[in-house]
Amino acid sequence: MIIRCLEIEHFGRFSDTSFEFRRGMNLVTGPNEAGKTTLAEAIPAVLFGSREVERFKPWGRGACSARLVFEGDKRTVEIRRDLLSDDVSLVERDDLYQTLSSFTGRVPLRGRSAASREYRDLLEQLLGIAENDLFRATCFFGQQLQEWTGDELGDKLRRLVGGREETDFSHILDSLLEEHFQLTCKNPWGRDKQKDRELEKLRARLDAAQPAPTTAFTAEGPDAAEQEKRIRSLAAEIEQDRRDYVKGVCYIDRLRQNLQEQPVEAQVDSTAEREAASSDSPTGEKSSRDDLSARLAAAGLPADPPRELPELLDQAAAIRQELAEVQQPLANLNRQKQKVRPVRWLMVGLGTALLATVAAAGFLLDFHPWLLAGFGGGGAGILCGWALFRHIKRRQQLAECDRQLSKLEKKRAAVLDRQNLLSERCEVLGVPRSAVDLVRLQKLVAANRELLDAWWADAGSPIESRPDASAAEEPVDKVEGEVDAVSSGARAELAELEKRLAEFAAQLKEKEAELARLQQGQEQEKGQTGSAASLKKPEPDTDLHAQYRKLERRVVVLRTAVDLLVEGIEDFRQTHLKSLTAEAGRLFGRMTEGRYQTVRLDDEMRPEVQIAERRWVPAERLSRGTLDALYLALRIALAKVRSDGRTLPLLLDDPFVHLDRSRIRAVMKQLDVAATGTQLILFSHSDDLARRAARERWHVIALGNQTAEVTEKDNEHAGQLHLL
Amino acid sequence: MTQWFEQSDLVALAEEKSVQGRVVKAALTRAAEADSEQAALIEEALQELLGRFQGSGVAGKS
Repeated sequence: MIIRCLEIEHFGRFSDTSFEFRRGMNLVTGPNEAGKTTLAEAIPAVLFGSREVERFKPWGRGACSARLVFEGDKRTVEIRRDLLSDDVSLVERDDLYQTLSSFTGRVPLRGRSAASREYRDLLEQLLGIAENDLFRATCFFGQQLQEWTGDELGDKLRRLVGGREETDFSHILDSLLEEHFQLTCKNPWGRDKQKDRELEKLRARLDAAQPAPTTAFTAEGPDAAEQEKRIRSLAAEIEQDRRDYVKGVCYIDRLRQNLQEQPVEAQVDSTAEREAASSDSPTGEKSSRDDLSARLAAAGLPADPPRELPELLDQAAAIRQELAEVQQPLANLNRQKQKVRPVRWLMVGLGTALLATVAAAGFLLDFHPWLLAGFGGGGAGILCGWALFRHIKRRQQLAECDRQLSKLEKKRAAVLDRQNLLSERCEVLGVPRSAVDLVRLQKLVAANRELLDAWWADAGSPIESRPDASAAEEPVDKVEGEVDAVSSGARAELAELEKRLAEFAAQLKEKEAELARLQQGQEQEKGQTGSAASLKKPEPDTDLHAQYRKLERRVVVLRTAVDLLVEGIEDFRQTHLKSLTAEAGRLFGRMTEGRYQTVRLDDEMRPEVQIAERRWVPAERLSRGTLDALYLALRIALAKVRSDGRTLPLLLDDPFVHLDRSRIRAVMKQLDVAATGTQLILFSHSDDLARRAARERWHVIALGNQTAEVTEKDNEHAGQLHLL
Repeated sequence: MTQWFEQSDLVALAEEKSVQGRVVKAALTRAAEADSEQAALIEEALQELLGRFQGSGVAGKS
């Protein structure tokens, strides 16, 4: 389409004036302030409105309006705008003057009303450009810097090059991304979303139901069987060792009792005794024993409480009490020891030196020398004496603390020995060892003493006949004192037995630790195998798993779809951008007489120019003249590669002010070529251009002094003067 | 690559210069290099895309 006519009713210095234009090159010429820029600005002002209405509003007039007529494709589009009220009327007619479409309404520059949208849609349909900034970036070249900047403009320009298709597919891309982020918060293209989505919630539910396997599966086949065999043999070995240990403890207890000249008749193995008792029990009593056992279990007591249990618990309580009694003074002594501070010998030395200096100064200055010497010497002596006294006292305090600490430590060690012995006995008898369990058990025993007595009575052994096992747990010092009284042979035998028993106990502990380790490993392996099996076997949470797998696959499919679409759009975009940059580079190369050959555009359509192999510079680093040539080349190239194939007039308002003569020649050559396919309207005051226009038969509109060439509205055909 | 990718209309679509054609071409390229499981995923993704193209009425535009 070309601009056929611009009728100005009131705009700037023009009033009731009409200008006609032709296809090809048009020159609007005239001196400064003749109204060239006003005329150039009137065209986008009619199309889109203007933010500088006050500038173009005629002085003393209450109106500011203009009419623009486009012509092409066997139809005309007539647009009239009142710039003060932004009332617009648009009529599209065919060559038979039949109205094809029309619009009337108020359309401000940045209007977002339904009328504005309707008008812009119509403009988009008719001209392909419906926005002021896009028009100025493509069809208008003024004296200001004509940059292509900004995301929004970049998108519009890309759409102009690639067509609406890119926008349509962008909507699909948005919908894919929206669905993806409804399913998962994981973002493979950027930062993850903060809130968990459906997939993560389902994963959490699955994890809560059954933790995922963390290690590789092992212990299958022969290895597992071998491990099982080892566990069994070790457990049997430990069982036997425990029995042997109990026997050993009992033997040593009896030996100690013998050494203490105590009756040994009752020194029998409690286990054997219980076994004998149970075997001797009549079968009729079995039910009552089962009943008792059930009541014990209900009370939280061990199923088969040993007879020594109350004594053990009493001893444990006594040991705890003794430990508490020892711990407190130990802590106090340690604190007291830390409070004993050392003498600050440095301060003492400095004080002495100061006093000596005072004494020396008295002699040097001959100022009461003996008095000062006495003062200094006395003071130093007192200071040193005090420090020495403090030092000795500190050592005494520390020694006393250490003595008391040693005494308490010995006592504590004895108590701890007893505690260890008690723990071992507890272990042998199957009673919990920890202090917490023992306290709990003590309370339970106290509360259920009658039940326990009944249990033991039922076992057939009177409690009174039980040996006094406390002899074995007498305080170590007491035991040692008593042991000293017996013969050295028996003592040596006891010591040897205790040593062997301790070694045996250590071996037993090692075996137990190994068994625990093996059992733990076996359990872990069983758990893993179970997890794996449960994943394969149909379980109650199979639906959850199936749902999770389905969602997971959907997410992968959506991601792949997004990647494919992005790749397709980018490929499409690059193809179209390539044609634009190739054309712009060709034109720019000719305008700069071969100095620059290649242009490229980034995502925001910001141009870069290649200055050497693999060296690109942003456009803003070029000189103003070169920059003007570049943006002009881009506009001409864009008009050529537009996806919709439409051509609009190119308005050039003094485009050569920053160009030198040779550049003007080169640019003009390209403009001549461009004008063959479209309409160029040049606004310039240049006499050279006027002469060239005359020579080349351009359509010329002279302004200013040559007002005769501007006609009145009523005589529109007489308003054009061809300089030829 | 699955047999679905070898349909003649799909191969013809890959020759188009539209976004749709570029997408199909990209999918074919990927599927040619993928194993059977990945190819099945790509097939599913492309079917999803083609369905959406048709749904939004942009299919066939170039």
